[in-house]
Amino acid sequence: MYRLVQNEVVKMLRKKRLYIVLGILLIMISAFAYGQYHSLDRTREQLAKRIGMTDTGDWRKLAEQQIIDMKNRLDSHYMDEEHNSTTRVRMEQLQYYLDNNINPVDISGARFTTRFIEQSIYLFLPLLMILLAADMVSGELAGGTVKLLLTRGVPRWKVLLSKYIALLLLELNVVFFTLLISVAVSGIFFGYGGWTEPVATGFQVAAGKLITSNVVNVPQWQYLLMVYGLAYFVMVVVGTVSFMISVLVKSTAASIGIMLSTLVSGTFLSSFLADWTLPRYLFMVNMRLTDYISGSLRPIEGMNLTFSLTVLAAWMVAAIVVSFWYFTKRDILV
Amino acid sequence: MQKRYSWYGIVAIALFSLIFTLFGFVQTIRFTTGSPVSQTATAPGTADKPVKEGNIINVFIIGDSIAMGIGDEKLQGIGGYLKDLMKTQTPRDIVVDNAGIDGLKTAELLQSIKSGRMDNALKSADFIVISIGGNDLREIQRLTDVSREAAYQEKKAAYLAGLKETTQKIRALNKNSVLIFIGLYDPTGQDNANENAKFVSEWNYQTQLLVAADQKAIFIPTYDLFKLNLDRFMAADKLHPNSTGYQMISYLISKDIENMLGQL
Repeated sequence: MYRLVQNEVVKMLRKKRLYIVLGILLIMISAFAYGQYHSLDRTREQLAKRIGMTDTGDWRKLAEQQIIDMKNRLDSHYMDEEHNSTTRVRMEQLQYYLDNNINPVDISGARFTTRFIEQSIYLFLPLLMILLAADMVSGELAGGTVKLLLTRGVPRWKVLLSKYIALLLLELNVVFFTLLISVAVSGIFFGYGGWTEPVATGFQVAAGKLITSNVVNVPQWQYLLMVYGLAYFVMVVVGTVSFMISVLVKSTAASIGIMLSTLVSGTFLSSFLADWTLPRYLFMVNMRLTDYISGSLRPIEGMNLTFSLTVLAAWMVAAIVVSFWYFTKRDILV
Repeated sequence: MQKRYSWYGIVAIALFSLIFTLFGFVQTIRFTTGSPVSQTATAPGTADKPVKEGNIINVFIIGDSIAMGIGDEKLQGIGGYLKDLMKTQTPRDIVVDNAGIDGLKTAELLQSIKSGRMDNALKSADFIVISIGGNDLREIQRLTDVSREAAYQEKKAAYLAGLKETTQKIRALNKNSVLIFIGLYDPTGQDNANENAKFVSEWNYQTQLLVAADQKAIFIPTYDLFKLNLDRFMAADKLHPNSTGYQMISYLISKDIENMLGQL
């Protein structure tokens, strides 16, 4: 089994697919960082125009005033408890910026790395997974090499399992390099700091409402790991579904095409989620997992992190079952 | 040989990222799926409200961030300064209660009055200071020039209707209190000066007409007070008054109610 997995990984590496993925990542992250860098300039400019901040130290005055106002707000007994926890979290954040003399508008390398995942978790990273997974089996079927593989006297399920494990290993590598490239590249633009910056998380969705009473601050490094954990989960799910498609169809082009259209359809099916309950059971509309922990979502009745994770996990299990069932049953002739 | 190295590299990296992604995943679950803290449904402001007693003058402040005192670096707000000023005018005790919530709009104020949780405070108040409408008006500033005029008319109509109903609700609870409406000022200064000036002035004028219909209600104009003094009276956020600004507003109020205070 070990030799089989090793063999599959080496085959994947020889196809240079992983390097293409990493190359795309490098280009996209650089472009994204460059874009952020420029829009940051513009944000500063607009802010300066709007509130008349000319001096670079002016943000401190503003932040200090905001903290005083929030203290004032916490004292009022007419505020509901739910508001108070967000206020407290916001105060902690501002205090951190003041203590460390960081302008809250500025982006750190760590914050960029988090933001990149938040932006790419629902489309860009899944697309890369398709690139890895879509020809794993269909490629062998099309090229006829599958016969060589299956005449070795190894049970078919073992062959497929070794391929699947190889895929999981490569996906982990992609996660690692995404983190590495993102930190390295963004550091050039924004500096390598910001790892202890507080980030608000702990949002919950219940009865179609965003509940903020459990909101707390976690350091950026921890939040980063949370985001990457979710990203890996999404990547595994998409990879698994894509793997299933590649078992089911013979041509790699068809396999990639099916997955591509599925993912893209997810982005516009998302807009119906509030009124139409059926699409929410599709895996491709449940991939914006990071929105749940950053609280930046339009809450939809009945959808929360647990729901989305369950849907994704169900699709993954189903895809594994179908793949193995079909691969062991199908006739491979010629 | 090279093949072997890259295989070990892949496995090592995979193990490493498996550990950190798993850690992150577990953290996410921990933070996000704890049982939601039960929303403490203790209707705020019902329990320990000042009850009307012979020797006490109750001031109740409701409305938006201006009511709350946002922007005041000394944390006093209208409530603090007005209390001090009134103390110089009457020997009786002044009790101020502040129910201002920043960001509040007219419809939300009406809703919270209808909810009944401020009933006790409203009933026992001798003076009710109301600051509302600024957030309604501010909404239209995000719009483009073309749709702004129409949106303004719509907002204004909704605001006036809401304010009228709010006043009626308060009057149904408390016939004798003095209602003090804080007028709007224009925090933007020079930007689109003409159009904003027109909007704010018309808004204030319509509010004044409504206030004039009530025998015991007054309108505190702030527009001209702030117009040429923005840098002196504005807080660092360029939206709310600072300590001096609040003191000026409180001073105007105290002068307007001086006579009334003696009669109570």
